[in-house]
Amino acid sequence: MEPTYRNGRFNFCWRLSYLFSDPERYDVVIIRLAGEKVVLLKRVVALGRETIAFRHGKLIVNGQELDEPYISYSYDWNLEPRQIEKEAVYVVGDNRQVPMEAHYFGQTSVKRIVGTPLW
Amino acid sequence: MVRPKWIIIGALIIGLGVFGAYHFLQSDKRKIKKQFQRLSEWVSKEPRDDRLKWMLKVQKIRRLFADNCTVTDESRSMSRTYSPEEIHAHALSVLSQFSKLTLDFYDLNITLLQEGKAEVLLTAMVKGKCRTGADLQDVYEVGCALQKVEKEWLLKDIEVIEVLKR
Repeated sequence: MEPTYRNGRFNFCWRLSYLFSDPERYDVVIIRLAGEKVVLLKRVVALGRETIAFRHGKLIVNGQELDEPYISYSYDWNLEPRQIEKEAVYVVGDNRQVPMEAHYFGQTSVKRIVGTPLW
Repeated sequence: MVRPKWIIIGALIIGLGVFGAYHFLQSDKRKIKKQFQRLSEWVSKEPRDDRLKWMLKVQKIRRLFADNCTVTDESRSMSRTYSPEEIHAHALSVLSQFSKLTLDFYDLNITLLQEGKAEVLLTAMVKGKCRTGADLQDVYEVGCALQKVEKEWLLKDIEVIEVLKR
């Protein structure tokens, strides 16, 4: 999630973020990767039942290009359109300078989201 | 009118039964944990390990697997059934590429089902160094199905759970 969140930094997980609401687009979320202690920090870019794609580094949701103000450089990712399942979100890290193949991103169940970073 | 003596005896019998059932279930869970400890021990290797001793150690992992064990990894579009001998051969081939490797299991969530079957959800952490010099560190959530064969819990199905599906 560089540069938004730097490696080696310390943070807390606010577990009550989605007690009464669902994750929204552009939310930075903490996703349970394995067990109770291993988590990922990613940003939600698309919601359930939406179609997502990347075209020359531009985020395309339901056929429309969306702004990503947290990305301040150009990159050249291309991903064919795919539909997100109901009860899932599509998450991507902010560090788009790495090749797409080396970046860990994709659709995940909303149930795996344990909260949001406190700061 | 039931005598207090019989109430006490009945309560003791029920208590012993509950304790016995709990102990039995815990005993099976302990055995399952032990199997994963063995897998971790037999797969791990250090650069200073004697090659022959290490190969003999890896050979033991056959004992941990049922006759046909299906390994599924959806992120790699892979699903294949292996015999214990194939698992051993495959493990030997993969592990030979590492000079150092540790495989540790955490957060084992064991569910005992009926008729000698169990399901385990766990975290697997792999750390190592390839012979090329590259470092490896990966964490996976893994779901396993085990079956009890002659008092031993053997791995029947292993699924690497895909958390982010591209």
